[in-house]
Amino acid sequence: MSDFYAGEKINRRLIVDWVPEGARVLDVGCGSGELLAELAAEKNTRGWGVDNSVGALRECIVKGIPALYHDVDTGLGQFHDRQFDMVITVVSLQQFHRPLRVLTEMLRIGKECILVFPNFGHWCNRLYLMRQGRMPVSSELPYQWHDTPNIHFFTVGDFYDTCAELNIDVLAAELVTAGGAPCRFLGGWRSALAYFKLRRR
Amino acid sequence: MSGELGRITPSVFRHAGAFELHGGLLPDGFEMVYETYGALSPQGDNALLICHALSGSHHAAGLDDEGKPGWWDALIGPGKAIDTDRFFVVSPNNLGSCFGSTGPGSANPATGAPWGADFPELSVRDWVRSQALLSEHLGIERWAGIVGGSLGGMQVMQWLIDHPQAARMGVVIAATLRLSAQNIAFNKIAADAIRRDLEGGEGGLALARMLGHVSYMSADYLHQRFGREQLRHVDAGADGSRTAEALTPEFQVNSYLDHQGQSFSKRFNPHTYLLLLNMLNRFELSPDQFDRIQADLLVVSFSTDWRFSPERSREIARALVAADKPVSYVEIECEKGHDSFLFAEPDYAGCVRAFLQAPRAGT
Repeated sequence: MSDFYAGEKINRRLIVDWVPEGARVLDVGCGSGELLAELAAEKNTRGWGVDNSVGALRECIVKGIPALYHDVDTGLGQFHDRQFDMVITVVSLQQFHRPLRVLTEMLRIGKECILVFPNFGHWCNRLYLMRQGRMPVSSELPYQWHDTPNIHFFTVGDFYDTCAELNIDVLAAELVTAGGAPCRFLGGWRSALAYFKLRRR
Repeated sequence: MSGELGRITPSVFRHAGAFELHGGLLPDGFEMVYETYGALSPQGDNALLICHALSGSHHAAGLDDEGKPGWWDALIGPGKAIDTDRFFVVSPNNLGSCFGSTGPGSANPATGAPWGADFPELSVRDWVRSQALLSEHLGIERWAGIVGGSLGGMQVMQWLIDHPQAARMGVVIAATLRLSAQNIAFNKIAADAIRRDLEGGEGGLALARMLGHVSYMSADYLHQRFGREQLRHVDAGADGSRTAEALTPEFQVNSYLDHQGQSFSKRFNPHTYLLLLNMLNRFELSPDQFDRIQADLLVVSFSTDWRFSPERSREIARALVAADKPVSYVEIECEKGHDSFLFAEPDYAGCVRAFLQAPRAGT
């Protein structure tokens, strides 16, 4: 699924560092399985991908990465509470029809979660919308409003509010610029991608 | 493309010792017919075992002596999903069947006459045990993989549970942990039809096959293939009147079913059919048995399969994840219903090929 977001290059290093050695991992919207392959190689994890594209699953399977066909919008009810040490979703949450349901389900089946999402509050988007009066279109967001798979855009600020409302503990957060540099200040304006490590309170 | 493997000559494995089945003893052992395709590697680590479905046989690929391609020729062959350039593929005919392996048509050593209805009840575990003897005979210590669809897929799971070390990979296609009430109901109708044959009637085995055939296909596929086409069009007479024939048209689908039913009753043993229906009905795996499995798995279902629907396969995949097993699950869009597993739909063939050729820990 993450292939639909033609966005910034994901810094997998950041994610790998947050995953404990030997963890049982579920990657929701796993795409072609690169993250799971890296986690297995570096952290000796036991992992499964979930995706609704058979093409993506085949890419996982050919690498020897276990992957499951599933439409995540129907929930994650097939997994039991705290079944995984870490549930990860990388630039997929904004593509689900019911993102909060997916998020709460992830926090139910995972002891911890890692969420990576594009920050729609990036200053370029704010400026584009203000000046053009049109939804931002860029190399990172090449879609028109009607054909974008990214149907629930939110900002870093929105996400902090959501965590407060849903009693989600933010264990760690990294805001990163389009160039991949960490944002030391004005992260809500300057970050293109947000990396959050979460737990249900 | 079919039959690239050319003419295949089946082999026979004879097990001389008494062999206990679920419902009784084969005192003189058994014979098992099998075909092989490709070559066993010097290390003996590239052998794949094929498990056939209810009416299948050992003739899975290549051409038999009548020039007919095997039932899985679309998937097994050089460069195909089950690639015989890479794997040594072994395809046995299950015990109790009627294509050469010991079954109800074989002679009962006590009487010298065919076993018929006296052939002992069978279980999938018996098949696994008998095939384990075949593995030994072929010198295969560990299968690279065990692959099967429908009842064959159920057999794959039983193999991996009963002999956890026996295979590195398992491919379970269009299968289920247990039959549903609907499945059992269909089987009852088939069994009743066949019993009428055995009580002196006729056409029962053909009826059973027709019923099976309809349930193996989706409504859309059946309609797509046959629609409302008729074989004979009897035009209305000049005065507009219609003959009796015109009033009872011969639909293409009916003639297809007649043909399937008749050809099946010529080649299949009614006692075998009853034996296998019974065995299917009794088959049941509980998810906690999956703890024993040591193989990597691929589970495949087809969107329009209403016999063993995708939910049945999801159940298998879910239980395997819960048991911490490296399992992949794919749901393939295919209009052909349960029978989809016989065709090389590209997504399906591609995933099977990808799985069998993927790098794996310890290989």
